[in-house]
Amino acid sequence: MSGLKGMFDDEFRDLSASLRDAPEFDELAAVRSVRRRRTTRTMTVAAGGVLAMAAVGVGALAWGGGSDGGPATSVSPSPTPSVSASPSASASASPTDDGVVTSADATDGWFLLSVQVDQDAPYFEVDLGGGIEPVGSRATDALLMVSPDGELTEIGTLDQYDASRLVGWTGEQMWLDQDNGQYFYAVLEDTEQNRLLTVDLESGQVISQAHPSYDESYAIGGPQWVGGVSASEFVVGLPTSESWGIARASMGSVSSVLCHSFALLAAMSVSPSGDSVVCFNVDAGRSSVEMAATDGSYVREVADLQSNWPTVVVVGWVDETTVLFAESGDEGFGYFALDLETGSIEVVAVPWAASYAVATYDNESETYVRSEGGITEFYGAEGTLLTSFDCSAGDYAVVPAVVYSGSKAIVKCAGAVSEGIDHPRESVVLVDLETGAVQLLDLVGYPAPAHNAWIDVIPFDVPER
Amino acid sequence: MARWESALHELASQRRGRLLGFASMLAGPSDAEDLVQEAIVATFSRGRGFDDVAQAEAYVRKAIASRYVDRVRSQSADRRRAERVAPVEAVPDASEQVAVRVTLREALPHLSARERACVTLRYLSEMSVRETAQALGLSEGAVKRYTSDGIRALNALIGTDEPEDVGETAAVVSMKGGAR
Repeated sequence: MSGLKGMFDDEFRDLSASLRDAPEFDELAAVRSVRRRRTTRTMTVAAGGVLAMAAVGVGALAWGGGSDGGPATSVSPSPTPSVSASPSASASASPTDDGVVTSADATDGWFLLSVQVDQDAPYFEVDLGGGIEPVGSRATDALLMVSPDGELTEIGTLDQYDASRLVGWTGEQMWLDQDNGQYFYAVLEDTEQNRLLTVDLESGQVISQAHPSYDESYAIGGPQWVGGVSASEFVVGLPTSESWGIARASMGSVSSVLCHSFALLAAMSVSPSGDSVVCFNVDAGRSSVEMAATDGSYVREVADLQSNWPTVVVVGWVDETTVLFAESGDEGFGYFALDLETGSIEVVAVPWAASYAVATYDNESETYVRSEGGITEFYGAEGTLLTSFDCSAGDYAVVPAVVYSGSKAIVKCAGAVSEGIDHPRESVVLVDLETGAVQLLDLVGYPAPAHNAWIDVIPFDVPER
Repeated sequence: MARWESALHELASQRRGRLLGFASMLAGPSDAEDLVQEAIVATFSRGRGFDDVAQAEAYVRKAIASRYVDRVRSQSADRRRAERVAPVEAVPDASEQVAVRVTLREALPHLSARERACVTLRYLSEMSVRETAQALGLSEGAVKRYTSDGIRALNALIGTDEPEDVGETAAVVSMKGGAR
């Protein structure tokens, strides 16, 4: 390849020489940007605000680019965390040089977390002495940014927008689901029942309200936002009594269903770019796999699993055209990689023993996560165990929810039994997918851990992931 | 000054021209500065340690390439236009191939974004198909196709006779397994 190779080398040498002293490169701006992302800012949770549960595999660092802080240290959470709170998104100050973190600072590795509580029911919190105390010092709901270092910053509430659920967050904007609370068994043909709000986080104002409408009746649960195409077009999962469909919800217009999956399996997934979806339609003897473009331009069958009534679960995406799935067998789930361009299927070897606990795979961090017996495990790309921790709910081994952003993951562990009292307590764990370090987010001051409260977490830039 | 700041300064002072040159060949001069800036910030924000400045440059180069492709990919509304980055002129057809001869710099803008990224990583960074696929978030099959198409286009434009076959193969996922 000497011809083109030589040309590339010559061109590169000439360009590099001519650009060596280019004044446009702003090193100071780069340093400031990196510093903002790395440095602890506004959040002043007492004593660090996080409880380091484990720190595994922090590599030795050489040269000048190493970590300054080293492994996470073990710190006890304070019962009275001090959280810098802004009463509304509009109160957020400039993120640049005044030490205040705003939503505009967020990038990969950040999350947006909401805590909500049913205001009509009492709520309690476990104090550090083992007792249970009523908690009322915080708002009934809060929107909290979670930085890659586990710092929390309040940026408002869902209640101020009369909204019920987080949908997406790009730092500059967020999308909220505003429903009328009649999801269950409602027929969602009424466009007023489910609205999508777009909020500008700099001003705190709702800049648009969309009323997605659907061309079919959906009986169970209502639409689920499962991905995004752009700020105005989302990919939604639409459950019916018989099947799940993935549809493109164009704001203000009728949606089009892209592909279907058997209702009890819901084995379908949006690709990392949001360009395509894959549906495993394994119902009543059918076992086809369909791939569709989210812009509705095509849908095609890409494979036939040749299986008889398997349980199929989408594990994740290797890249835009390769999806990992798990299929039930006699001794547990087997793992396979399906090339959506050729339809070829390959067995994927996994480092854990055969089991019915299915892993999920995150293509950006190239990690697997699985939970079994209350223990949650993360595995690196080469199959090495990155970290593991107890995410059990007391006597119950509930599979936790995992959300990814950049090189971080948040694991939402289910409630637990404490001191012999049935006291469901959600805990939220931040995992560094490069080092394996694990932190327990300190949400003690919020009502979410109580039995009548709940937590939602979405990653930065969810529509594009 | 923190250690990472010293490292960033060392990288910027010693390798600035190389990074801008790489980005220029990948994305064209108009986007090079932004790509380098973004890639350096992203690389150092992760707290990753480097053995030396050459290793840091390699990481930043990968970040430049992946961000370049991400940019194109994320512009879903303008995808068709973005796939033909800076289409200065239409690619000459076969009848023009003999008559028209351009330099590499003039030829690169005629490639699609992914073709340009794949051939640049192949020839400039000497990355394998698998490494390119990982850096760009593409399948290995797609990398082979884009590389082959890119070489074919460059051959036509520049007059080279580079083999278009990209024969490398690698496992589709990092956890290898046999055929089903």
